[in-house]
Amino acid sequence: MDPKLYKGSIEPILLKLLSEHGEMYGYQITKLIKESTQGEIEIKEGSLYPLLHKLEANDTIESSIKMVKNRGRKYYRLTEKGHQETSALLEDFTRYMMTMNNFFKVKPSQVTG
Amino acid sequence: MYIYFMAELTTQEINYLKRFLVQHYVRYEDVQLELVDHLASGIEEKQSKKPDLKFEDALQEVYKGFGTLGFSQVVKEKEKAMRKFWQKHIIKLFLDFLKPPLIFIAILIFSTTYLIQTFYSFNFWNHTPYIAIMVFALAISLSFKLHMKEDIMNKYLYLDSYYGLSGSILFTFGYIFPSSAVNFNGNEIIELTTPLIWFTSFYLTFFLISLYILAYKIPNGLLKKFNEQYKKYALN
Repeated sequence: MDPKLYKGSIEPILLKLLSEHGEMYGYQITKLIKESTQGEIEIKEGSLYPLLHKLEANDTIESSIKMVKNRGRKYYRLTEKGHQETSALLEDFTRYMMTMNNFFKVKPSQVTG
Repeated sequence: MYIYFMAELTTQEINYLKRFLVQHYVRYEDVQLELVDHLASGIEEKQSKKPDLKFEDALQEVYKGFGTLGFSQVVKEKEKAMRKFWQKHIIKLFLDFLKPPLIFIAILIFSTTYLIQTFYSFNFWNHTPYIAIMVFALAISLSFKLHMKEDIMNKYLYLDSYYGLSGSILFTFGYIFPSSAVNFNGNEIIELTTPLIWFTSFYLTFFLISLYILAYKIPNGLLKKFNEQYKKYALN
């Protein structure tokens, strides 16, 4: 799938994953998105980390570090504010998808009359 | 379905990844920690699927995932995000200070400077070089505590812009402005008039409060926030 098509959807996808999984780390997020969309959506690391850092600076998500094997691992989770923002955003996003779905279902003859 | 054992990188290989990041201009430790884990997880997964794959080759494959810009986009955006984060806290610390105690302090400074000028006929403008030096020494000593920690802070980001901002404000009001006032007057003695006394009292009140906020209050608040923010990295 052309990444341009889903560029604006990365944030809702990420927030939805965090609201479902509690806490996640960067590599896990990229892998899970790829797997759960059967490879249709692939988020580049160069887009994921800047988004995570932006959301953290905005207090939408927070992080903690845990030692895993022989290295530190940064886990992200939604903050209280993030939970509220996510519900509102996912509601909007669902409405957007329904609108797009309806739009693309309309036949050209119906539009031109 | 494939069943494979997950490979695990050695400490030497983890250290190699850290050096790899430094070579690619990722100097901040909080970004390094996250990217080391990302690269390591990717390499481990690739080596688990293909045990013959060499560490360096697996690294190059994972690195490709960052696109043609490599880590630069991640670092650039992180700097932007952290600048916003610290700016927000600087504004918050400043606003926290704009409360009733400030009004009492302001009245106290204003009355003291006003009285010094009227009762003792002391003209600050004829002593600007000494006052400028004293103020500067005070500013440096007050922010010394923070400067001591600068090495640690640089590892994590980005208070450089705060030093630039506070330094230029203090330098302009504490040194350039009073020095210019004397120079404009051709180094002659400035006459102590009532409007000048009022102006000087306002100026010194504003300047001393700014000095206290910029050189002491905000750096201390930032240091506290910094310790909270990066306590979690003490694991390393």
